[in-house]
Amino acid sequence: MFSKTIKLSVAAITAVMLSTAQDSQAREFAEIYTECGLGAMIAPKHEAVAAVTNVTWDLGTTAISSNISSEDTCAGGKAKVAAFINDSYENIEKDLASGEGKYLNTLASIAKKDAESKENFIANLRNDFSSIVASADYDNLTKYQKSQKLYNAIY
Amino acid sequence: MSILKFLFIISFFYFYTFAYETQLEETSLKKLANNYTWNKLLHYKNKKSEILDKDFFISQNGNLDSQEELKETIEAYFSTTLKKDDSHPRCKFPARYLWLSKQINLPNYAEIPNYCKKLSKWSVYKDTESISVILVSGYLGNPASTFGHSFLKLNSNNQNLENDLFDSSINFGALVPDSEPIIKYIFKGIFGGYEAGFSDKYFYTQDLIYSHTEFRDMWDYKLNINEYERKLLLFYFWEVVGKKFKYYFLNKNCGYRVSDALELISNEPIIDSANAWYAPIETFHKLESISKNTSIISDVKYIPSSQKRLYSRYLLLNSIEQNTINSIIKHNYKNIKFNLKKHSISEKINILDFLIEYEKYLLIKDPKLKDREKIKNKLLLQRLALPIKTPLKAQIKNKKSPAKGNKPIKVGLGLTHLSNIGSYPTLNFSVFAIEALGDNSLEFDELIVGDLSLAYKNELLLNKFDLIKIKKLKKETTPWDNSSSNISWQLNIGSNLIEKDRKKHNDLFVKGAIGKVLFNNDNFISYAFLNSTLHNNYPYVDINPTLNFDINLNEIKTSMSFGVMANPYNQERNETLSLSTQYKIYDDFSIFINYKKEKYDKSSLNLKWFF
Repeated sequence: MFSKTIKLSVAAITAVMLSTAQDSQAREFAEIYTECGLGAMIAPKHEAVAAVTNVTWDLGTTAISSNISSEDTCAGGKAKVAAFINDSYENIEKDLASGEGKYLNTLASIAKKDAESKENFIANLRNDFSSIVASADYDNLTKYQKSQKLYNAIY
Repeated sequence: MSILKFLFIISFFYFYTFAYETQLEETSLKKLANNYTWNKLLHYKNKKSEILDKDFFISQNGNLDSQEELKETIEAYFSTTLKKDDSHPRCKFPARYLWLSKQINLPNYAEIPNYCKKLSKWSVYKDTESISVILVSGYLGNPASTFGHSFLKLNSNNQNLENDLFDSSINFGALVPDSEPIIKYIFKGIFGGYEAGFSDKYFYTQDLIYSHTEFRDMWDYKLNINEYERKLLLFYFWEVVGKKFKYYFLNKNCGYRVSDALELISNEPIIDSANAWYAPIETFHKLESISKNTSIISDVKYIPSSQKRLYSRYLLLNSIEQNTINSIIKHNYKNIKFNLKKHSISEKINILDFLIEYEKYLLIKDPKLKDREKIKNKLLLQRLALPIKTPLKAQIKNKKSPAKGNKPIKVGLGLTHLSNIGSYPTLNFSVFAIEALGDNSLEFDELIVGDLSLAYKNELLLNKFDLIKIKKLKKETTPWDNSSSNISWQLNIGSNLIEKDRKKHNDLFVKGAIGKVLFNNDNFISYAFLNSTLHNNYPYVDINPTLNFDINLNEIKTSMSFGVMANPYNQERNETLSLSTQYKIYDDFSIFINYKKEKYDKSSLNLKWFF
């Protein structure tokens, strides 16, 4: 009885930790999304002006693109990966399906661990991506949600 | 000698030397202040800086007085009171000091002082091994992108990156508020109502917009510059990114600013004239011209749009795979399982890879197609169940840069004959001309703006004026392209001198046409158009279906059109015929012959000069 109690407690604690870990991952992408302004579209919302891309909405050096530091909040590291996934989701999605492509190769080069091979990273991510696409709600997910799931599959 | 005398002599020589040096500095200062590169670094035009931000200048009147700015820039170098951190001018203006270090003695000069923390961490400076200028093709789908675009790309030598998607790009654009009404946008864009500036973004943002969303081609002109020039340009961008300029769509636009930056490292001007008009392609015409005598361009690489890659990918498939794809698309994926059954794994992979890319293409063209999103997701699942396989590599024919053809501005002299009126000389001018028969032709397409022809026959006459003339032929057609995207079209608004009842008339018209390409290859295209024209004189409307042929034999290009014209007012039917030939005599000079028959005959012989 006592060991059963311990087992149940361990299981409960583990479940709480896992759910917290998931939450903290989700918060991390969400934090990056808001703090680093990932929500800004590359092109504007206004349709007529949307046709014209020779305009800019964030003049100057943005934290993400400045390459100043890999440790700052929005420059380099996970923020860079989050932005790339958010901006290029459709291209990454297509490349992941085939397992090869310019955008997927780039994602691998910025997101994989140093010791990991590109092939390994892609194979593992492709597996995880299959589960994401196979989920019942994938058709109804927004681009933000899809990007978040892909980001969480990496980190 | 007493000590006092000794000290006096020493002081005399010391101050004499110092005074002599000060006098030299004043002379040198003035000369340096007028230096071409110094004025470029301050972005001076007509003795005033075009930069609007006050913090770009160290001196109070730095935007108006280049000498004062130079003096304070030098003084800042030697200052012992200025804080040594990122706010120091040496950290803010490294291009100025790099250039100055070659002009005067700057003791202990370092390109990046160790107290410039931000500049020290700027990896672009360390990682950039070359700089490219990118020409983005014109986009007839919307007016403001019609004349193309240009930006700079800082090519990285970072071994950790697979490709160039994370190279930095330096792009000049206007700051336009969200939800700006289109009329206000056009007015403010033309008359300087916006501020603009350079921004740096990763190249993948440009690739996503131009190649994957607007389906535009790009040409990468890699510059052949030495280490000093590379550093100077990089520091120049460090100084200017984020600073504001006034934006004028017609002449102080992206093309102008790119050319302006390149003039920093070019031995001759890039901008010949930008008083009224400067198109982005002019930068590249000039680079092509300069490259005839110097090796300013190291390489030109064609970057096809994702749409071109999709078409090329289809052509790589074997006929069985193509038939399956056509059937699947035609039946809206109802029979996909049945169709795929008969294929090997490898063929299934090729088919699914293509279909996923095709559905992505459709969704970009129209993101509201929710059903297509579901289709695409099902395709993703099917493909993910199959192994990884390197997709077929599209073999896309290298397309010549538009800058290798005619320059866009045209002047000419001609002789025209109008039936029952006689012959008369003409003087012709066009603000922007990419002619169907020109050397800069967009594969038989046409864009002409402000094409004016004046004639003299006892009086000054308006022989012809094309406010705008656009022809867009949809050449790539496949069974899976939907019918609306297969439409070719033409628009022409202007005035034409015609003969009617043996008298001269100016016919103001608006002509539109829709049609279809019947056949095309690299040298030949045939297409059918249904033309409809509104006139200011009777008959006010006419319909003119035509069968057209354009032939490209490199130096000689010919266009033929055969048709019938009718109108709703009477039973008149007139055969129409148009024959045109243009021959390139040599670079930027062509001879043009045209014969046109409607209810009148008009023929002309023209000499054209493009610049």
